[in-house]
Amino acid sequence: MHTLNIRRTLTLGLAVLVAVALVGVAAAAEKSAGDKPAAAAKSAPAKSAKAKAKPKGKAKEVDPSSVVPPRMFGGAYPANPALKDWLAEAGADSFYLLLDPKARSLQLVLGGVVIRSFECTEVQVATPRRLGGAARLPKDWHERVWTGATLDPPHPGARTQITGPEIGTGTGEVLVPPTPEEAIPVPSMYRIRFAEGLAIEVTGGVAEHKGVLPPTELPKGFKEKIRMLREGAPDPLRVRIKLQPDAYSEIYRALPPGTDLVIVHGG
Amino acid sequence: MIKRILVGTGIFLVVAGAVALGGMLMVDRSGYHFVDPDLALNSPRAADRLKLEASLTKPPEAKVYIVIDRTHNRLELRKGSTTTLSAVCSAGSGYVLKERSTDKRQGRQWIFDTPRGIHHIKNKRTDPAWKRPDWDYIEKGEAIPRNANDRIETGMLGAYAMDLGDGYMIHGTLYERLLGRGVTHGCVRLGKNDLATVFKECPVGTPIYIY
Repeated sequence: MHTLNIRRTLTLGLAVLVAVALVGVAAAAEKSAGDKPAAAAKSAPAKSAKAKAKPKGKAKEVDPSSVVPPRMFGGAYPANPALKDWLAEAGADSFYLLLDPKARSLQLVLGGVVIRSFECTEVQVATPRRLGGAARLPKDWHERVWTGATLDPPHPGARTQITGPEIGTGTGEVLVPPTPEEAIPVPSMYRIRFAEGLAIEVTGGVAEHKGVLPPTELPKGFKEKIRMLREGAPDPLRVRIKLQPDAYSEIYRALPPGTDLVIVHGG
Repeated sequence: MIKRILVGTGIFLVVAGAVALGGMLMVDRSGYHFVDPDLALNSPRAADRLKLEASLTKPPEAKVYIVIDRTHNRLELRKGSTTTLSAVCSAGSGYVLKERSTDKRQGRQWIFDTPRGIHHIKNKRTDPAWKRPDWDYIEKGEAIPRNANDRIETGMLGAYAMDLGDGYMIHGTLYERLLGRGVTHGCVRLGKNDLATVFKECPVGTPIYIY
């Protein structure tokens, strides 16, 4: 009799949860259908390619489909009017990264000239997880310009300041600065964030942990998860690349701030 | 009946919460759903793809050009896609020098960075003399001379110098032991042999890409 009661209690509880879930799914589907025309109608005015968007510290928007880039390549291959404008204005003498997920290559380009090439051992693309799956990948995530790279975590910022000695008191000693390895320690994982909401998550450093999660990483993961639950996903779109350790460190230390990004369909 | 519904729902919520929390922490820390990008790429026509790629990068320069990594203090001499010389250099320290303020005027400030971007060799000189700028005197605690000729110093820049404009140069050094460290005031220093090669191979107008 007692067992029967427990079974009955659990069955009733399950039935209530299923009913609530069904109502929730139906409501979400209705809301999503209602939102679509509004999202499609949204469009941002094309900005001048020179006027770079300021990188935002924390992206509040979560829905990638609602992120409308300031400069899209016009959608239709190969027309790309915005790309042409960008290349003619900013691209002609600025830094940009060219990521080809199919060819697994990442190139640093300055004024159209490839100055560094890196091989990616792994490339993945991701959207934030949601109840019942993941957010849809926007169709235009490649063949468009993502602007204003910033590093997360940033470099140790402060520059060394020297005040000239009083006249006649100089010692003539040469101040020996640290090596780049000493001056800029590389974290075990970092992200390159772009102003329009894409982040490249770079992995592959020698300090990267494999296998069982070390206990020190647990609080970090928990903290990030809580933050995501409270504030939403920080990046509407993420691309994860894995590099050789040398390339991993080099990009972190030497990537010029404000670099743009174009993801191409190569192969 | 209501009590049973509440208790049953509660039990399921606690179990589901525990499973979800465990999953979040152990299985999916990122909170993102990762997929192979090949599945997510829209396939353009091959000709269109090539056209796009061609518009994004230029073919490697047929003539010689220089690439400098100012962070890692590396200089490469390239011809087309071939690197003909890879050298250790010294670029700007990134330090900020402040002049002491006096009663009469505010102290000046200099930032010793090698400028990123595209530059060109504007002029080439053999046995170059160096006209010491104000910051060199201030950094060393020396009085700034009134006569411009007193600023001229020979032998400091090595056997050759290539001007990039705005006072920046590629030149030699007396402190070869410091090559590989960002120690300069913005110029790029090279060792004796590498400097001779760069000077010989690069005519005036050679592009220099600094990142």
